Amino acid sequence: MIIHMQKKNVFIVLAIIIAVVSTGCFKKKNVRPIQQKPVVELPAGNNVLVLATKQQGGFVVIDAVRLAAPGFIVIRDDLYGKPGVVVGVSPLLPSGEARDIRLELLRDFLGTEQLYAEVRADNGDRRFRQTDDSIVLDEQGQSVMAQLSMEGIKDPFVDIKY
Amino acid sequence: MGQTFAKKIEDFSCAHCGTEVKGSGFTNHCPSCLWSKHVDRFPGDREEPCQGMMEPIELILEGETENIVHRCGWCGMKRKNKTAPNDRREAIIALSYKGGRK
Repeated sequence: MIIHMQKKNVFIVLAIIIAVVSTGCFKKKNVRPIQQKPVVELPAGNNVLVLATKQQGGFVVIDAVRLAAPGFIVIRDDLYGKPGVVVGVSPLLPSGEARDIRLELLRDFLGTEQLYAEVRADNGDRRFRQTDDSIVLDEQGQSVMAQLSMEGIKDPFVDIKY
Repeated sequence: MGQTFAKKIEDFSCAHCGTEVKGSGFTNHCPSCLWSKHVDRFPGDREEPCQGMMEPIELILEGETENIVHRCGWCGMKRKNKTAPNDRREAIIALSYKGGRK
């Protein structure tokens, strides 16, 4: 009688396990659709720069750039509404198109701050130097520059320790 | 006699941070901490008897030229010096905030 009861319990447990496993197998899987980043269209002409006006995380991503000659993309602080100190420089970019260039910035950002991205022509020494590598102009004679706002990764009021 | 510039190539050890600096003939501050020393009456002459340490107190942008303002901790004299290509960029950025700009 006891053996019979134990067998019955074993069957019940097995049945429950099979039911649970089979439910899991046939359950519809929650598959996220792959989101593809839209391809950024570069405007016509030489020396054009496209990037998102809002960026975050301490680095800037340049969506696309087209250069007539090798050069650099330089990120500068805001100094009373004008480009200030250089806080990030891309590697030397060849002439032609380049996309998704990630630029590390050399300081932390607290809150949201204004920055400038500008294109500089290499003077031939393959190294960026602010006084030697001139600002690139577009076909209208305007400097190739974009303004962006950087959202800091740190909350200024969280890190205060006493 | 007018102000002259004497090019002197000198290696030195920074008296503020200890960095060993290789001079280029134009080096007037440490590329690592940006501190300087009050040794010149005119650029490069090494004739100044003060010898005080000069703290970088401000960064001024004049066009595309970055200038460091140094102030002597001994006599209080202020002098403007151009940044050098090998200056540590993080130190320059930090100096640009020293005056409480933001």
